[in-house]
Amino acid sequence: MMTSRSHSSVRPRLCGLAALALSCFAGLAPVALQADENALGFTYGADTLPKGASEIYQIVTSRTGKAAGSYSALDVQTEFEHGFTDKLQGSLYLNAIDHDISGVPGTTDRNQTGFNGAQVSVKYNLRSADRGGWGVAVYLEPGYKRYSGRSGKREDIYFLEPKLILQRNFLDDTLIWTTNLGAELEREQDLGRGASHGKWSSELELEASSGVSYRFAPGWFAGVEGLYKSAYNQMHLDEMSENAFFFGPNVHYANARWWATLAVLPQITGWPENKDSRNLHNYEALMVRLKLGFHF
Amino acid sequence: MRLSPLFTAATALVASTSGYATDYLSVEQAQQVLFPEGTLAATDLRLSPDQVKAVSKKSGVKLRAAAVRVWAVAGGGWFFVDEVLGKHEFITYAVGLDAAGAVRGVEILSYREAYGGQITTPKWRAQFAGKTSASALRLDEDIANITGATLSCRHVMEGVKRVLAIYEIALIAPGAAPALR
Repeated sequence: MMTSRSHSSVRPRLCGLAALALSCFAGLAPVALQADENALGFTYGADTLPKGASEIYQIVTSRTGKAAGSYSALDVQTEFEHGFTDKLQGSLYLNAIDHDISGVPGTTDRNQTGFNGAQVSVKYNLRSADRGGWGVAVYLEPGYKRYSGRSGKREDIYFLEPKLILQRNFLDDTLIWTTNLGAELEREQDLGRGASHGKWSSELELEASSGVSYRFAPGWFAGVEGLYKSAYNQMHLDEMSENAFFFGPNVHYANARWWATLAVLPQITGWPENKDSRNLHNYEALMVRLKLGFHF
Repeated sequence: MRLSPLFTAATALVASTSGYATDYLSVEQAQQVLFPEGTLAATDLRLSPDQVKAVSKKSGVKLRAAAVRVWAVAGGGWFFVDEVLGKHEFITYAVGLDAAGAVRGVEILSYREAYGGQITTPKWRAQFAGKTSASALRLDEDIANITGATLSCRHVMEGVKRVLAIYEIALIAPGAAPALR
């Protein structure tokens, strides 16, 4: 399922494919029906799809920059989402991943693209923020990945990601504030060629994100978003191994048929730091996410 | 630079936005529906700052502009055209009030949202008939919500509440006449 190519040819090809997919979406817009809303790049809103409604998303996340060498990773997700009831929705994700790594200390050089497993998710809306007051939802996402997101090394990773989603609207519903509190429990087996081949390990990641998005013109939103990630060895909360904080702007456009969100999150600070107060060993210097959604 | 094809495509995508809209009725058509037998005369109603505050306070909804689009109906009654925020776009709607100030009908002129097209149906709009400025107008109690379009339902309901407050404060209240220039 994996392909390895020369450094000069793979990434432009993958980006070209993604660009073609986006252009196709643009071309399909006149016949697509309607769209839901996802105003932030990394933080989910509390609303769910109405019963019987479906949407398809294309999510492309670029992660670039290490303390030394050249590092570029691209996560491509295709998501199908369906409303089972007015408060319960489910999703199926299919993932691909691309790595282009050269000269990064502690990481094997590689240039590869591969299918990166799948996951499902369910989201249950306890209260909609559109009624005024707090919007609340709970979210659960079990899944399987085939590669380490950081190194691109072949692994079997089973994970479970619960999340609490909070949302509140202000200024006549033109300012949307959303916050996610989540955890990711991972159980992974190293399938690389090293001495640790076949070894199982566990990791706990805690994640908190929050952002605001303001409607400055009909259909157009702009805002900022922060994302804090931390990891703990063997799921022991007293053994934090790393953390990082990302913060940056986002812009969102939506109409009745489709929506798009672009978020740019540079790493502001991280631990243990290895360059300019950032942790560029475990995390990247910059994450850029583009999301597209279509209702049908 | 490697992301440039993505951003180029995104730009093309945004540029392809054609301002999709669903326009159901023109103002003239809405007037015909709500007052088929009536003769309507446009008025130039501009609220004073105090009236703006009073309308916002009574309806609980912010008044975005002091100028109000309202027509007087010969023999009694009023016809309003107003806009409220939808999830993404403005929702344009019309409200007809009878001579006693009760809602005669609500018409949706333009609705551009992903969900909740049901607010354009006669059944949903009929819930407003007979409501007055004394009516509470609460979502799920007086007016049924539509899942997936909660914000649109709430904003249209609040818009009608605002129209009724304008009627009471700027059209029939003692001393309201100066508002009509």
